[in-house]
Amino acid sequence: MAELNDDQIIKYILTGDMKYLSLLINKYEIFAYKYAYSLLYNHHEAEDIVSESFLKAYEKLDKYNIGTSFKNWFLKIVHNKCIDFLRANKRLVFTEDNNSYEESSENIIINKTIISQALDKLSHDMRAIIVLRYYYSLDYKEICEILDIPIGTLSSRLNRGLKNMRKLIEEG
Amino acid sequence: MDEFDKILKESGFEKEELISQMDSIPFKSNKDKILSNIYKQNDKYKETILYIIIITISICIYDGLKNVNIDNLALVYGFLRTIDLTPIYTTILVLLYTALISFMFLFIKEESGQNS
Repeated sequence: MAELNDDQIIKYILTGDMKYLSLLINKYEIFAYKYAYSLLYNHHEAEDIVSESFLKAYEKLDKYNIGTSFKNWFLKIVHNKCIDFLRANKRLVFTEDNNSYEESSENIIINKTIISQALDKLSHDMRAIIVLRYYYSLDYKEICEILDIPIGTLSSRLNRGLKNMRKLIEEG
Repeated sequence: MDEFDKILKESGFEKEELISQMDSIPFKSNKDKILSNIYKQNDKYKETILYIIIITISICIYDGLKNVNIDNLALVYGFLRTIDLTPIYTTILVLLYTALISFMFLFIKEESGQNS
């Protein structure tokens, strides 16, 4: 099978050709998994989120605008699934809470050898911004689209995050 | 935004460190499970479509399938296939067409019955 771009693969899937689905999974499974893991810190939960995200993406594939970035569209689904999951499990911590550096729950399974301690201490929205910005190399406009927030909100969240960050640095 | 980058750097955060940490997250593909979930969901849709087809066929038989010209059905099917419709959608549309024709004949029959 010749090298196909995302839009070509999606067009084939939309015509009912399911064999192209595995191409999409090959391409984006690891990508989605790492993002989910960076927010959840749990392998099983990250796996489930990725599986659910692919299912949702498949169901909503006709809503995807051909010509736009599938990667960003799919990342948005993964992000929303993670946030829904964290919210349902009362583990979601936002910068607005002002307690963003407190442990969100005793049940969180954190593998500190994998992600740096500094990143662990950040709220979910800040962590998402950092991972999207520095690991996935997205610009702020794309981050806003994935997090579904206006640029003003991103800016204010970053400012709040900055204050907390400074505090963290001063405290050593 | 630039200040954010600056503070991150001051805090000892290194982009390369994050990348290497993210890269080192152990990963085992779950492709088969993902595909099986999607196929399972797809089967549910197919089941629903099958029920719709069965109900439509039942209605057609009940209301007098004999009124529908089979040659016309083949023509409609052929036409729909030429406009790149998938076989399943084509079949559904043909069945809906059949049902519509059946209802029309039924309606005409009733109307003529009332007039006479």
